[in-house]
Amino acid sequence: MSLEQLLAHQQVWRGFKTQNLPKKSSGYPELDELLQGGFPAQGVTALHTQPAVGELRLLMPQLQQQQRLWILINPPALPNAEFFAQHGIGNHQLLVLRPNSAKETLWATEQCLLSGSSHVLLWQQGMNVAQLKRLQLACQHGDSRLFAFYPPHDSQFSLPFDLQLELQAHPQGLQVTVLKRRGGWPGQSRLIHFARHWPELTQQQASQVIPFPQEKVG
Amino acid sequence: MFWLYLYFPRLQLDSMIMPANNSDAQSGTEESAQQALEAVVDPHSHQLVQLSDTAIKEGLQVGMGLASAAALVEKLQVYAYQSQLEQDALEHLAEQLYSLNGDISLDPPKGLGLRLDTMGQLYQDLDNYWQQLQTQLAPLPLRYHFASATTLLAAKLLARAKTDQLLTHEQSAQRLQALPLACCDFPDKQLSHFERLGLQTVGELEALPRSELIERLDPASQVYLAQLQGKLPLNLPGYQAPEQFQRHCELSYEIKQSPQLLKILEPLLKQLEQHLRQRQLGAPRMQLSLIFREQPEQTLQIHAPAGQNSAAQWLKLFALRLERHPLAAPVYRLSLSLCHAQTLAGDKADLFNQQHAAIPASTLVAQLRTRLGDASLTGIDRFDDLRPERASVPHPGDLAPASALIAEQVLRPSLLLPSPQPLKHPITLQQGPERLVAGWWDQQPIERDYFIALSGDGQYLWVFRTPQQQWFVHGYFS
Repeated sequence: MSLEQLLAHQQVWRGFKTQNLPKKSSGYPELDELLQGGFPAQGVTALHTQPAVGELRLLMPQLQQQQRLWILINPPALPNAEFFAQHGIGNHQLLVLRPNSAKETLWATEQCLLSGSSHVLLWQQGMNVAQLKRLQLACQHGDSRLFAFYPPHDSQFSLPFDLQLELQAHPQGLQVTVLKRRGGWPGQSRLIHFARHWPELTQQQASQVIPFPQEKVG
Repeated sequence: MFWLYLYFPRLQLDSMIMPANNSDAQSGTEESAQQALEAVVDPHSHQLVQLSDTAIKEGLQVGMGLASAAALVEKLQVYAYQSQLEQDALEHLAEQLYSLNGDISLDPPKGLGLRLDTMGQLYQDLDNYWQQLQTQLAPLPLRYHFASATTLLAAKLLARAKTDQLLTHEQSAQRLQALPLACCDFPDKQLSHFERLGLQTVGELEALPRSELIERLDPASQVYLAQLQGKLPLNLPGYQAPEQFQRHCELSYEIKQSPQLLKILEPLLKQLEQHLRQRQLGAPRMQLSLIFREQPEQTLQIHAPAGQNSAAQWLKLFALRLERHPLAAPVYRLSLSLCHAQTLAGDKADLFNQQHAAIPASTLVAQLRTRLGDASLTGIDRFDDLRPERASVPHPGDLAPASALIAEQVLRPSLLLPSPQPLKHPITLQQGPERLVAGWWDQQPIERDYFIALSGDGQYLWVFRTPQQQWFVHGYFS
């Protein structure tokens, strides 16, 4: 079999091609650099994170770019319309779903992604490869994006997400580590500074204070 | 004047939904090959009034008593005659034909009069008109006879005599002359009087001198004859399209599975689509009543708040609903009604990106709501209020109407707990206090000092302290 045939059947993986996967800027220069251009323009992104460390704030520039519905499935609390309105997302673009079972959750997620009129933020554990593949196909069909939130150190590391990140709280912002990405190496880590966007939610002041040397005391 | 009359000899039987019409119901089994014999019986006289083809083949005749019919054939499916069913069927038919002919007279229980002379300008000739009418009628499972004549009454008599031709004025006059008097609706007494006089046909009656007619006919029959000849107008109310959409469906068998039910709903929803499209309306809510033999009636309400007029979309919504709530018992009658219609809000489709905007947001929300239930769906309302729980309020069941965006940047948490929870973990305060004292004007006052707090593992919380020094968590800076 010649090389052309292998390429035609997509049996040879060509690294440079994946550089051209469509990306959307994350709004944070450090993160764009880490992700080589930004978040995937469509597909499933998994975020392993503690709650309330800034995981939604990290995504806010992403959410602002889209004039679609944002459907939150099983969020830990209700979205605050005031916060979203400050960031250019109208309350009429927000919908919260709390399906009664895991099966219904997956069904609803798939429908939302297929429709092409919404993106999804999903808080749900337990998904297998076949279900993830289905959701990825739905993302392709509807040109939509799914951000799935998981607890840190969850056992889902073997799933073929388009992008899998781990977020860790840091006094200056968020430490983002790439666990898996399509067309690239995992393992890189960057600190995303929140000081510019959210000065009240960083501990900058503490680092600027120079502790008074003990020896010189009185 | 020129009229076309459509006469439906077995309207009730034809408009009932039979298992045979519903190919999925029993397809492949032996029972469908051996069709049931069906008959409609007058509940007062116990005579057969309408018969299916198979029943006629077995030798049954209209007018036969129920006892002799039962003696003749073994398996006879019998339904009681209900004039209301025929009235409903006539009205639905008139609604369907209304787009072709603006002047329709209902002649219950079995006929429709269509006035042709006023429609001449729309259709070049009668053949053209007739073709269009037939394409409307062909898909319906109705057996009919028709005739045209100068008066409605004459057309009716000719149609009942199974003329089945479009006649010109002269032809219809000739046919009417030759029509036996027994075919006319004279009272029995009058008919026997005609027989004694040796009068056989309408022509012979009309040939009598006027003075003699007055002498020999009772007043009611005189009026009838004058209406037949067109000398007196026949006052049948003209059909007016109803504002409400409502369909009742009488099933001749019981349905246990939702797919069968959907099959029956499909033509009804197509009629709904036609009804709504002609009026440029959308339906925000449909109601389906299912009537069971033993259990109380069940009503399903299905919502599509933005208004929907497509039959396919409604069918999908009904399918989703039945997937969630399967039929509780076999259904033998159902009615579908439109609660109210609203002007259709056009969904803005992206001209250049059509495959992506395949399903509009309103349709998606209606589908989710139907499948998951109202309680699983929440939009978020935003109001201008200082109290956080009144500024961002859950809007159950649907997307909330849009409020303006906010320019001022006051730091607020991205997620808000439905109600404040007592603080249980150690925290360090980062920012604050921000004192909110509001609501003294509507008896729901708050007095709180809000702080941004950091928990041990780096979580930013929105906490507040009440004047009683109690601490609560109200939101997360996720």
